[in-house]
Amino acid sequence: MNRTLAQALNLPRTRLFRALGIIAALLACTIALLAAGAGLLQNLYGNWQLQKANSILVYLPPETPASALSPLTTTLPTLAGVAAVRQIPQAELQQSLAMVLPANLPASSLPLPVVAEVVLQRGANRAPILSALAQAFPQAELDDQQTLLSRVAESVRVLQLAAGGLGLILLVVLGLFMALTLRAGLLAQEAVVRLLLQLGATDGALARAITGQTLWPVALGTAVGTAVAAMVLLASAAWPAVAAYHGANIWLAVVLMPLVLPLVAAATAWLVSLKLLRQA
Amino acid sequence: MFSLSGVGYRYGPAMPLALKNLSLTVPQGSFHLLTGPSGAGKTTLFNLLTLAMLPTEGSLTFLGTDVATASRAERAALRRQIGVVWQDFRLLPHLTVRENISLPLQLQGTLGQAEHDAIAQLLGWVGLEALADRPAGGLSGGEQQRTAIARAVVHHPKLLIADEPTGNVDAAMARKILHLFTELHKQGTTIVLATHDSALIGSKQAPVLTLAHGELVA
Repeated sequence: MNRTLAQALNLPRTRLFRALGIIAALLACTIALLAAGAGLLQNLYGNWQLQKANSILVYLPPETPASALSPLTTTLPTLAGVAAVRQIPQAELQQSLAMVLPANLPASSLPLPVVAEVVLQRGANRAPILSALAQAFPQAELDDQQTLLSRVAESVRVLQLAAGGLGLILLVVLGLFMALTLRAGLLAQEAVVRLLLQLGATDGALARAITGQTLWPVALGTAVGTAVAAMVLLASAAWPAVAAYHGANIWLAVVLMPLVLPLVAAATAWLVSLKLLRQA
Repeated sequence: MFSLSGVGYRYGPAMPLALKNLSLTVPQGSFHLLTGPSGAGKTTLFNLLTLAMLPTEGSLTFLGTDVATASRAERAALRRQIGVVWQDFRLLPHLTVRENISLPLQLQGTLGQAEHDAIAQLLGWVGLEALADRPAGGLSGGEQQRTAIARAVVHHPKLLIADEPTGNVDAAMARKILHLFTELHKQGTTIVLATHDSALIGSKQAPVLTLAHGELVA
């Protein structure tokens, strides 16, 4: 029955209807790339967090005598939760600084602090370690990466929320476009709709036929848009800096997130067509 | 079959009544002719009887159901019991003749092999066998009228309402159509036929409902 009703309605004849597939493809591609972006950000942050969350940097004045550094090799490594303690070589510090200093100011000419890195085991209780460090090196400045991590985590969450919000806005745009397209399509076919109702078609049967006709271009557009996004993601793997953060979660997001589009399209088509039919 | 009690219809709040205080009972299996001059309210009554509109005054009962209080689904089910031949045919031009004729059966969900055979028989009967798979939009007025008649009767409706069904066909086809209506009537179909054709009114031994100025005068 739906096939005949669909043939009778022939909504894809409406010019606006033809744009539905293109709009769906653009939205699907954008949503998939947003999802991939959010996933990459999550992976990047996760990786960085693993490196940073487990270390405390200890900055000591440049003039600190070597004898004062003995706790680095004696008491500190034995503390519960400490995986390793190492003094960062001056050459490594100079190399790091050289990247940010002007060429006419060599890092070797600066009085560099003595820096030690205390690497913690995952889930270690930081409070007793921080207290032991403060006791061993009262003059030291301790840089616990945890504070920075919470700030960065917050920023990452904000960025992910922004991506989610943008995705939602795109879904609303699709819903509005669907509503406009259906209104235009049904207005163009008003005589046909009236005839079918007169011949005994129910609102439900007509709404099913309309939803079916709407769903095809959206599903096709979604498939094309998702494929394009997948190709972009595949191409990005050629860039090592991005490839390092590719993962199954990103591919899942790229494939699954655009599937929301046909669902939104079907729900919108069903509700809008029922409303319009009741006004007919 | 249907009864009207004090039925009136107004196209807008400030508009005069197009139909006034119409009371009428049409029993099942009857054959009525409906006539009247232009502007008498024939089209309005036609639209009320096909359930395309609801009366703004009084009540219209069809097959025991008050159409004003029936749900949209109930009204759709009632409409499937009615076969309508509109004066302007109302075919879907992009569908073939066969698809147009089969629409009521498709909407009833009863399109099987027996129904396909019945459609083929009906196509032969209205002389459209050769045009069955042509789009209806390309047919002549007479061919479109015959397609519309075939569509109206294909599902054996309980009520057949036709507006000038012989207006666009030659005398031989007009006789054939009237013969079909008479056969359907003999099988128990209630028929209301709106016409200006005085020869038809004179030849048919059937009660005539005459409208003038929105009122039933005979």
